[in-house]
Amino acid sequence: MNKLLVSGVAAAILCLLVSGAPAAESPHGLAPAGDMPFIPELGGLRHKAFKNQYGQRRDLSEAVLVRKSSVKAGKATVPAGGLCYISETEQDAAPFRRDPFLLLGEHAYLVDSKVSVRTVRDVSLKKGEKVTVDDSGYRLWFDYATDHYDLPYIQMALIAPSGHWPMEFSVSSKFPAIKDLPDRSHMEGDVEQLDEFFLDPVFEYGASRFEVKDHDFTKAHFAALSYPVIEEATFSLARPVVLDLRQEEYRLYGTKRIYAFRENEGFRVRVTDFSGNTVLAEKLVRPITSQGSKDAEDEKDAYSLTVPGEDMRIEIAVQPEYLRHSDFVPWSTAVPHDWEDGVLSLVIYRDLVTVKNGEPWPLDARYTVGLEANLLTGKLQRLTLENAAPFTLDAENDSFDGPVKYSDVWNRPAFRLVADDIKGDRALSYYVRDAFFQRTDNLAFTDKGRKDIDCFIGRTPTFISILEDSFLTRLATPKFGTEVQGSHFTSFPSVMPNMAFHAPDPTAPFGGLMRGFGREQVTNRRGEKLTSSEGLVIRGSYVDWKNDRIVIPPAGLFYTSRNARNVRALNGETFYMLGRRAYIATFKSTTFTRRNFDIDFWRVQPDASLHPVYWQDQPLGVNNKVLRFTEKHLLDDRPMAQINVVKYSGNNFGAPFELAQGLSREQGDRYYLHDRFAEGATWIEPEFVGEDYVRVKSFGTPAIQSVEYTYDKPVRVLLAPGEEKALGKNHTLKLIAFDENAGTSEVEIRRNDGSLVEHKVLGPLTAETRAFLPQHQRVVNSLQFPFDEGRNRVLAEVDVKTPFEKGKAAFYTYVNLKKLESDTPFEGDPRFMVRPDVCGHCYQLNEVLLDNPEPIILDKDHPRFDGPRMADGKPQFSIVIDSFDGEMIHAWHIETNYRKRVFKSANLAFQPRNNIDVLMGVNGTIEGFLRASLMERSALQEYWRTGTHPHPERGLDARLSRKFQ
Amino acid sequence: MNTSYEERRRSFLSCLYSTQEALPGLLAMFFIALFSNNLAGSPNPLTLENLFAWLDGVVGPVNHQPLFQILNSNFVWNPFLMGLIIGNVFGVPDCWKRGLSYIHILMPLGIIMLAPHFVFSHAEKAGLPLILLAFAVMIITATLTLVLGRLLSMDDRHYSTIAGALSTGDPHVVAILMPMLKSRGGQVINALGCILLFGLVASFLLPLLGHALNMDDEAFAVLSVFGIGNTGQMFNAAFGYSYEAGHWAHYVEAVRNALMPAGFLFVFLVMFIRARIRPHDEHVHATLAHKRFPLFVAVFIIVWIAVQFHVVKEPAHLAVFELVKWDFSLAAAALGLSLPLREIAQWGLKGVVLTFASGIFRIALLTLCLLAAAHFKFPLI
Repeated sequence: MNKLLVSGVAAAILCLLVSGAPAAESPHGLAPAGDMPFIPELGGLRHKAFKNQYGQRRDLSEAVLVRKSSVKAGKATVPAGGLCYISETEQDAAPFRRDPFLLLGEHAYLVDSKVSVRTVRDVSLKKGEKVTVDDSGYRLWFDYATDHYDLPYIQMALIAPSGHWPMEFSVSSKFPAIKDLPDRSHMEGDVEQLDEFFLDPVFEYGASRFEVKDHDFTKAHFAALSYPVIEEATFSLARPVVLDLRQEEYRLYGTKRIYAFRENEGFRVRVTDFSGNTVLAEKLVRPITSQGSKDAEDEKDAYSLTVPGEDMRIEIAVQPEYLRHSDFVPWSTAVPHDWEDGVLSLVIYRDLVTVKNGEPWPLDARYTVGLEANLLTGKLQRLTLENAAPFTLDAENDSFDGPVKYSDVWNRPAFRLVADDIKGDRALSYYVRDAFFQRTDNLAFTDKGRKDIDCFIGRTPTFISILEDSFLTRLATPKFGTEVQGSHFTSFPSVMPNMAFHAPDPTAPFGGLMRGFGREQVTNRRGEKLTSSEGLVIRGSYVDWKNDRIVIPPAGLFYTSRNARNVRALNGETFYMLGRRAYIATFKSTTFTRRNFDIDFWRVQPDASLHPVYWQDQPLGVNNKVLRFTEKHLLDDRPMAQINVVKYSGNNFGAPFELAQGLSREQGDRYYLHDRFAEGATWIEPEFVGEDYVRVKSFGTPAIQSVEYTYDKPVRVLLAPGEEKALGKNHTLKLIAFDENAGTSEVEIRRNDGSLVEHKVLGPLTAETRAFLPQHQRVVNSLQFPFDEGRNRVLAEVDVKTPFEKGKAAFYTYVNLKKLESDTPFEGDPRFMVRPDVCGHCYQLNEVLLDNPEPIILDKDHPRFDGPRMADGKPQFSIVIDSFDGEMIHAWHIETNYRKRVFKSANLAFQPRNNIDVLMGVNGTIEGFLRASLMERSALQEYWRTGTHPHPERGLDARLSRKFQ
Repeated sequence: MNTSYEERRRSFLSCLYSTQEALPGLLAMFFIALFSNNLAGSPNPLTLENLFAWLDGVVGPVNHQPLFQILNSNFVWNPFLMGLIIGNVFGVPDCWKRGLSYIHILMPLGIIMLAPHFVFSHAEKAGLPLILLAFAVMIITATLTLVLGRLLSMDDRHYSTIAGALSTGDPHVVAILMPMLKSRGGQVINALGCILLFGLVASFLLPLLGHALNMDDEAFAVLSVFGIGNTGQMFNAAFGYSYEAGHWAHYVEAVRNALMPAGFLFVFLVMFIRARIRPHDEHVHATLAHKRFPLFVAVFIIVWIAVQFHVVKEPAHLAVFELVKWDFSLAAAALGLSLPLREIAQWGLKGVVLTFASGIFRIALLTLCLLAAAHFKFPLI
């Protein structure tokens, strides 16, 4: 027996040795170490906006990423694909638009691409996993699952090999789909909570389509994932030569003649040698115009002539007179209209380079090309070059060259990764040097070194995606103290009349966790763990230097309390209320509906205050939410609108509405989007989606009126018929009778002095009614019995988990109920108004906001402002101005009262500020603001680390910051 | 035809050289300025400033700071260096000299325009104890340097220039003091070299001292800022010690900046009063050329007092500072062009001895104060 065991173990060891260790996971789609160094700027990696032929802005950027590296025994190892160069456009690049694109620091134009749609079937995964779905390294990520009516819906993302993903999408196979949305165009104003909860099993996103077949809270099975892939792309590395076209005549291009013979469908272009005797190529070429469908795979060939072996690609374009012989477009426009008049020109692209997805880079076989498409438009968004084989850096071989770049001077490595001091399991010195021989700081940052050589150098937006798992930790626990970015001082006060629906200054310091602002994990009656946290946001504050004062405008200061998801009644769920744990008792919500209204496209209006003006917003009730039309695209010339619900806090509702009309996959369209949107209890049905405005036929979203809560923990009581128990000091709860089969209990609550008695039959709690729990307030109300008014308000509710036990009925009792009623003064401190926010899916409480209805003025005589008072009468926090000279704030801080001690924040004007905008504490609202300015905040962290001042144009990309607000 | 000034005089501007006479020199200054610094309104990318920035990138940071800033590359140093090289390698034609003499207008003008840079309220945040300590150390350093300079039998213009620059911790002060003290160009640059050399050495040695004494980050930041002063060099010391010390150095620097005028005005007033008391002393040269209290100094003091009442807002200050850069770029170009290297060398190494002696004394004094503050748990910031 022993021999058998020994031989079995030996065989197992042998198998392991032969097979090697489990294969290392491909780094594709995965993030680098959460604490990796980020350097926003290195001269050789560009970050700049250019314009295409039609004046459309293209924000281009490059980066170098190292991920999944490790350091051991004096060696740093980078797996295949671990070193990645990324060139990215924020928009996309397509043929026939002369879209600029960066190739290892060189300005190029995309002139051609080959696009296909990849469909992957039957993908299964578990919650939290990022599974590879194809050979090129795309991954599907199961991020999150929550429920409605106890049925699950899931949030997913398709991650490109580079690590980029544009958005998370929600899908579910358990609910009515968008197509089932009934006509609700008759609804207007507040209506009661609606029963239906919508979530589509298919997420349609332009050129992409993701269909879930089945799922629960922990695993999901997708029937099909379809997404665009770029198989091949051709770039021109030089500005095109533009020649006026003369029909039936030739133009000389170097030693070639280019003839153009007029035909009904276009021009027959013939390229000959200098004498005209030898025809090198000939083809009917149609003039290009701006319609998006021209670059469809089955159409695009008609619009260009590529001369084999001659490095020439000829197109015919309409050029306005003043653009002749130039590709300089002096203005920006969002809409690619054709020139209304101009001359037909031959546009000749040269210095052509064709790269293929998954193939070696033409100049350097050590690197593999990756071409990634914009999931919405299916056009090129990203080019990556990854090391094809793993490599090791050590004392003898301390550097690894990046891919060789095309250059007008000499083709050379675009960058070099150097690790010149590795001791044991730590890299003490490593850096990246660019093609201009400039290097970064030592990326180890401290003498302790690092256990890997991961890093991100440059400013491609992919940075934001790959930090999704770690950004909050990076920002909330900074290694180098609380970063404060000096303000840009203006020659006029940046007055804000009211800050509702606005985000704070994107440069506002983030204080992170601070004692006094609670954050803890709480467990509800069902055993679900939820993070509950509170914080403080100041937004829109400004120095009114004409009057030597600091002003926080109305709604400029708000206290926020929020859980990881909505706060539900009947579950004993808690939330923070000014530093104390509060138990939600009940809530009152409605559905706010509107019909037949227009939403205009919002345009970024530059001003110096970093607070855009949103005059196009469409209000949804008073101090509830607004609708904002924030983004638009043309999908084969069909306008697509992205509309956001913006909450009172300035954060967006998680799911933007992406709408386009008249698209149909059945009719062969390349794109598809729903022509209406419904998710949870929110829906929008447009009548018309235009480039500049959307006419809405019907819209609805939940709104919350009030919430009742108590600081006293609810008590579970078991009552037999006729039995009674004290309900606080002043009331008594008595069970009259119950019917277990019907799920009902008849109860009575009375004042102990006998002045008031009420009966109520709670229930029925049956399978039918349970199907609407825990969210539907009609059912919730049927299971709750609130009693009395004012300070003595109490409530009894059925224990929905175990309503009957041992011949008794079970209840939870709440005493000393308090009420938060929307748009009314907070009863604990009437200086603040209550603005509860609702979950847009499910009518539950999402967030408690307390804000200032009146401006708050701080000056030399009033340098302190106390925040809302807690139950003990002390302010939860105070704003203290320490040094203010009438124009610049040199020192201020926040104080909190926590367990009879006063805690002070760091100086939040470590560098002079012209406002006291701040984010303190960590919850979903603050997280939203941080995510929106993640790139700039991370860049600031780096400037802060070395004490350098950011370049005024680069330090804060104001346009970028605004865009995400 | 020779005509007297009185005959030519049409207005007070008649005292100036004619455009024809001054233009070559002015153009030389202009082009040197243009190719030295990235100046407001000039899109020229081919500047010495950008060359140094590129070299900074190639060499890589030293203690996370750009090397050429540690070596004091700035808007005064760059054009001066370029002018010095051109002047000493190619010589300066006579026709440039009248234009170059406009340095005597540009310097006082630049000093006046610098006034909005020194706002006391920017230093308030650091608290009165630190401000008083910094002020005391500055005055003691200036006084000691003046006394030591005299003991070393140095030219009073030379040692007073060193005293002003060392006590305020800013090498630019040599340029500010030049028209005040009526120092010679060679003395000014010799003094500048002394201050930079001391700062460079101290910036690398100070962290060793800090670690040896186990100083906390805030204390070390104070030691760097007031012990070295020169921005790039004191950041080199502070960040060489720790990131935290570097951040505090940024914070405390506002105090040094705000007190700077008090330092150089103190030196000027001491030397000015001394020259009035002993006008016939053959050893007294500094400020002697001033027949009366210089108008530009009076204007500077008035403007400096006025800006304390916040009459110049930050955007205006930044705009004025861009003009200061233009002004000092032109003046430093003129200074470099008109300064043979031998004139710098002729003032010898006594300046180095004086600077190091006073500088080491200041560091020792500061260290003692900071250790005492730590011992008695006295919060300095």
